[in-house]
Amino acid sequence: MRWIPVAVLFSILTSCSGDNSWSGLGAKCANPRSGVDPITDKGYPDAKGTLDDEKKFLKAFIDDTYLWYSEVPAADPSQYATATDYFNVLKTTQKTASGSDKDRFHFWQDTAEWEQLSQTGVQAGYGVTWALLATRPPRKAVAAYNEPGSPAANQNVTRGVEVITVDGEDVVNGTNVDKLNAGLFPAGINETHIFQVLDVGLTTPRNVTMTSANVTGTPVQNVHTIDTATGKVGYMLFNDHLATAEKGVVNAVTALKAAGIADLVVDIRYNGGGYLDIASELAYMIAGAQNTNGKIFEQTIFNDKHPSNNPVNGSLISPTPFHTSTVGLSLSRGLALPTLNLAKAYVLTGSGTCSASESLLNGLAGANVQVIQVGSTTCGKPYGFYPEDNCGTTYFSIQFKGVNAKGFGDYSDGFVPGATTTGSFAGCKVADDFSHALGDVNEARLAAALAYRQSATCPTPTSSALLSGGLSGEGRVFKSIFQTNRILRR
Amino acid sequence: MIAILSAALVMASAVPARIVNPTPESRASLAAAVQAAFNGAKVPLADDALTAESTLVIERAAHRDARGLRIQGRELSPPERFQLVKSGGACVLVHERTGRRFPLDHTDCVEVAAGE
Repeated sequence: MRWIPVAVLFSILTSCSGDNSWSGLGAKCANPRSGVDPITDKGYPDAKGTLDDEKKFLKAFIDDTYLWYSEVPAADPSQYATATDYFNVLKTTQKTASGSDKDRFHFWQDTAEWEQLSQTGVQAGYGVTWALLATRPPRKAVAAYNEPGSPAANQNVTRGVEVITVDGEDVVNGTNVDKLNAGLFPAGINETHIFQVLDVGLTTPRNVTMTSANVTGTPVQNVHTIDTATGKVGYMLFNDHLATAEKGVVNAVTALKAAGIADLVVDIRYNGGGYLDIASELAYMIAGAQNTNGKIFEQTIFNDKHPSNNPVNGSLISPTPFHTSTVGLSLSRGLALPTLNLAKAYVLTGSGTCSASESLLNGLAGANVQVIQVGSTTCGKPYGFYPEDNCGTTYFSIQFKGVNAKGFGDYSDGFVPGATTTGSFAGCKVADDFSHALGDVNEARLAAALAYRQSATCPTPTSSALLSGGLSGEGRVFKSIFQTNRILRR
Repeated sequence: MIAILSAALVMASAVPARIVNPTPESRASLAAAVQAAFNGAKVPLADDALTAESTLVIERAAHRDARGLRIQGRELSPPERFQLVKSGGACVLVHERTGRRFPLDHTDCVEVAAGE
């Protein structure tokens, strides 16, 4: 994997030449920026152009780099009032086997917003990740997990705690959704809001006051072992492929190896991906040298115009290997990784398990590690892109697909637990259980994984009725303030 | 010549360090240094930044789409890293990619002990 630092990535992407016809069409802007880009250290490349120039760039960019360029329907650019309106239609309209849109990831964002930096894992908020089990009335919002030492943790706003009111507004049926969203998802630090919450198993609500702060996320939490009659089972909650997760997963595997675990449960139900290298590192640590020897973790495939070279930066296309040592995200580069050498891995998943997290499952399968998947269907994103700035808007269009060592990468409908289709994994469909802490052996998904380990059978559907207070389901999980749409709705 | 030798000795004695007893002033100094490294862009930092270790990692904020899914789910570009060193009694923030050095005012730091 060739690395390009964050700060120079944009300058490379906007200055590469070669035979990319689109690169020569960029930076001709209806409203050119001036000054120095705070991220690239260079002046904005923008020159005075027209809206038509921006549309021509987009058409050429899509024609050359979009994974499904041949499926983009003809569109008259003059019919679109803005460049982004035009970009919105420059994507495939085909469907997946399940009937979903084939491309659910076509996206654009204001460049200044996209370029915002932060200390890794630091976000303004209370340090709680909310799961919205119903976003329209009757709404239901519960805590999925919190960050150690955060305002939420200090107020015991732990997994399963249900929010009843926000600043006096009823969450379930209230009409002032702006008030609800503003309170649940503070835009910055030092915002104080009052919540009425209901703890798991109780009937009397309590009031808590939380003030938002810059909270540092702990991407790997709750690492421990579970004693069973057939040996110790290791558990790790892995929530985000942040840079600091490199240190987290290495420390976790080191501890679990020292504890002599016989099996491992990796809980990535809320892990939407991030650094692909961390997925590779963890896969190697699980599988070990023998299972991964001579194999790649993930091969990147661009469209058929570019079988050899990356169309964005011109480099030779090379796979992400199974990293056998640290890549230097939050640990020093080149430290040998510990290995568990497991032939089987238990993975807890949800709809928020996405992208690099799905690569973890697929990469393990490529190394012939048997994956047992418990939970719900993953998001289905075997794709990636290089964000491209033009005239102050950053465009995200799918440019490559990742496949494992066996050449498999067709999971655009997600990995379905227990499915029998090609590339699927054995396992069980189990609803998310907000009535128990993550890592608790009684939590439905972990309990199912432990039971499957003993008997290779799944819990019967009636088991879900045991989940107390209706605190089960899938919901939508929101981790940060960087949203483009309102979250709770009328 | 003496000045060059002195500078070389100072560089040679630079050791990884962490901040102790952070104050509002030391946090402001650290924030200003990081902001200067990124041409004035404000970068949210934790209050306890660089108090437990000598490396400060900066990455793009994790933007998510309307479904709550991370937009850049396969991140291929590495983060920016800074190293805090103690050099000649001063606490200095070093930007690894550029090598730029930012002395921190109002900041106390100690050498990171082996194994920390």
